[in-house]
Amino acid sequence: MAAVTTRPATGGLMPFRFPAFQRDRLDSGLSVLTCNLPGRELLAVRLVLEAGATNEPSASAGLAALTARALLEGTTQRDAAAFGEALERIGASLDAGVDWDVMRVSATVPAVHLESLLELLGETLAEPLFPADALERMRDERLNQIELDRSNPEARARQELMEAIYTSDSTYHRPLAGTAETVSSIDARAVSSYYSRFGTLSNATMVIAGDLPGAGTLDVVAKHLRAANVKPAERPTAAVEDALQANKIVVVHRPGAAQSALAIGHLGLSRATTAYAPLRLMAQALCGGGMLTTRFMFKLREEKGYTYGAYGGFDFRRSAGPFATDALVETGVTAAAVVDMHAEISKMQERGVEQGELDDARNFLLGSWPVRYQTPAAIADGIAEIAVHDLGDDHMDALHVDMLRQDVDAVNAAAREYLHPQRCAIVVVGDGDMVTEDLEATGLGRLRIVDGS
Amino acid sequence: MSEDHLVPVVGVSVAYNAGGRHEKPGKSGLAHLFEHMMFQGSRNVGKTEHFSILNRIGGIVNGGCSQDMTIYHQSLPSQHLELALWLEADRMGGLLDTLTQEKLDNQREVVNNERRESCDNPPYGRAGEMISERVYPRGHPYHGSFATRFDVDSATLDDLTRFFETFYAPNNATVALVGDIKPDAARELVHRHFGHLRANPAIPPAPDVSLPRVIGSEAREVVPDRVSLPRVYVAYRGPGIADPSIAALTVAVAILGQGQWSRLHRRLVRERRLAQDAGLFLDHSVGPSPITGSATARPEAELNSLEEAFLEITESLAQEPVTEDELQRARAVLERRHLEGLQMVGDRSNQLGIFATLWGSPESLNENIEALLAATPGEIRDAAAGVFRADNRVVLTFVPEEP
Repeated sequence: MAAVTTRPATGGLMPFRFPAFQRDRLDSGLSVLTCNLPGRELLAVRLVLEAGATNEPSASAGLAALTARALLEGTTQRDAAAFGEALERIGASLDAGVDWDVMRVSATVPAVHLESLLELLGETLAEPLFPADALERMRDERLNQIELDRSNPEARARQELMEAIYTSDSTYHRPLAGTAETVSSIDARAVSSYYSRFGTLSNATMVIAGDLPGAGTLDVVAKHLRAANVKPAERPTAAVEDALQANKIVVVHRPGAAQSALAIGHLGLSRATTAYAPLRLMAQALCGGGMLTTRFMFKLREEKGYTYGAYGGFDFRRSAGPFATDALVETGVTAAAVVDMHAEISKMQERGVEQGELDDARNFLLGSWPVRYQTPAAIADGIAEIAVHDLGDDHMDALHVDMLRQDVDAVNAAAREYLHPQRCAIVVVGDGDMVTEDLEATGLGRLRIVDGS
Repeated sequence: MSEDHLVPVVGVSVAYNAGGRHEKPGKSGLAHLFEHMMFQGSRNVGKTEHFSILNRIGGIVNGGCSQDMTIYHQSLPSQHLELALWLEADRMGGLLDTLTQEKLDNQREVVNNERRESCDNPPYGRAGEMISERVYPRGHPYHGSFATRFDVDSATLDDLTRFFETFYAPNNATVALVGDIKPDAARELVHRHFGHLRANPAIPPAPDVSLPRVIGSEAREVVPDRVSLPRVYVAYRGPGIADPSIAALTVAVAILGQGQWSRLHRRLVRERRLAQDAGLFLDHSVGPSPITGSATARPEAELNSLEEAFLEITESLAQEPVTEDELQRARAVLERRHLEGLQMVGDRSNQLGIFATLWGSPESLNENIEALLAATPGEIRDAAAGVFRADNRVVLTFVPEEP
């Protein structure tokens, strides 16, 4: 047999439809989105509460995150250990966390144990214990984690970038997990009152994806998720103001660092923007994940060998999230890598994408949908996004069509308008003694040094 | 092959029985560097095209390299199965045609940056390497981390050529296909693309990775590092995957150190509040498997008390038997994790490739979970007693360095 030297033909994109789901609303106000996926052994459950970190006062930054964690610390009927052990006995995993927009409770469970899971979930949502003692422990752990994050170069670079992009009274300026000062002030009372104000089912959404038991699913949800609080939660808007009028360089000095952690970015847009589809395509071609042939990866990794990976993109939130990119590079090439990353952003803003690049980015993003949405968990997350941003139940199919419709002109118009190479924040966490002079010589912007040891 | 039509996706994994353990002395890191070179083009495929050709049809691609083996995998819409097979066969048969010094120099830098990123720069980053240097004696194939102990800078095209010719042969590889396939048609495609490749009749026997069951004495060291909180690492030398006690030991490790309600987390983090986090992990290996635990100290905690408590909990499993409830919980969680690891067709093809290569048959994937679920309290106690002992441990304490 001889080698096959001709590459097999591929043809165009295959049509793909996102799995269908059903929307119902219970008397409590809870929206229930169910997606039946026969044959799957595991079920995924997502509960989206209007209790994201945007709702917390800035003086209590970290309160939403701590409340989410405290939610799994036992109920009035069983303490934390009994609650955790009950979950383990049915093989369930249960996590709770927040982002700026919402609080999410996520569970995976063997399909046969759905009702037991909902019973436990319903119990903790209706009667969480919030024990003062556990709160104190978790608050201390959070404070320690803040210290650990400060000594982590990548985490530090990301946070400095946010502080450079947003004005100090913007919501997104502060760290999601809070600061040492704000977290210190949080106690069980604060958590309990935050939860009773925002942790309501009346405008929450539950997503269940997997091999559903049948028509009875809704009844089971209604039986176990009782309304603890019927008043719909408020939905405050994040305060967002651009802090950048010109390019600005921040060096976080870490003497003797083996590498520099780079982060470059600027103000982005909210998820509601009509430019969502062209911006996703453009950002994918420039610096998206999963591809070796983005402009960033091609230049910084495959051509220059500066880094193991350089990525980025827009973080679309309910209000204008950031456009952020990052890379870890060897100290000696820090300034050169910064110049290359910035130049790629500039070139994209000025000249846009080529047809071939747009096709590649689109084919990757859309072509990989069947790969990405394989599991109940991934499908449930996709459906939850629709709920978070009120996107409409046909959103995934509509987005598919929207992405297909975008041409080079539309993508390049979005790049021109929404990339801002003239007002970027450039953060370098690394050895200041080794990199500062070179960074100043780039002429990219005014430089400020911060202690990072 | 494993047929499953739940989603229109196929996972294609190609596993080579070639990892860090197969490197010659003085050529360490070659297996990992080689994993990178496999994406630099082959006879009919340009540099980085393996990625771009598959990305263009929505394929998600990666490779992974361990001490024991190397695996290449892609998940893609199933109608493109043949394209993935063609790409994999082209590099299995024709990698050397396009190998150049320039590509080697470039990927050497990328690998060096991967090392800086995972070991040199992050807090506690050196722990893994330091542990392997103490669990395994100098000269053992697992001594030092394969990704870091690297004669990278001296690796030549010649070294790469020899490594490829020796190990990247079809009779040293397994192709695993999972998902939306028709087995007869898929078998035919594999024959068409891989059938002409020549076997290497002289694949060297697997290196001897056997060692005494225990290290023989305790090794300990205090490591000043750029960290904000001290962290205690405790590691043990465990048996390999062919050892009859490995299943029971895996369950012991889960009961001791996995999840919020494991003994270590419950006692160190929740009850005694000595630690910020605590856990224990077993890395299943052909040779002696490393079991590595860690606990990050709370700032106010006495480090000695933390270490003492950690060792006490781990090493007393033999005296404080596993309760029926602990066992039931561990089994339920292990089974869910097993199912989670099989949900995506690409993860499943990887697992089949790994089990076929290291355990000896793809069916071992199922036998393995059955053995975990069947382990008895007595077997768990005995497995733990043989491993968690003072003469078989490494204790590294990372402390904030003086400014």
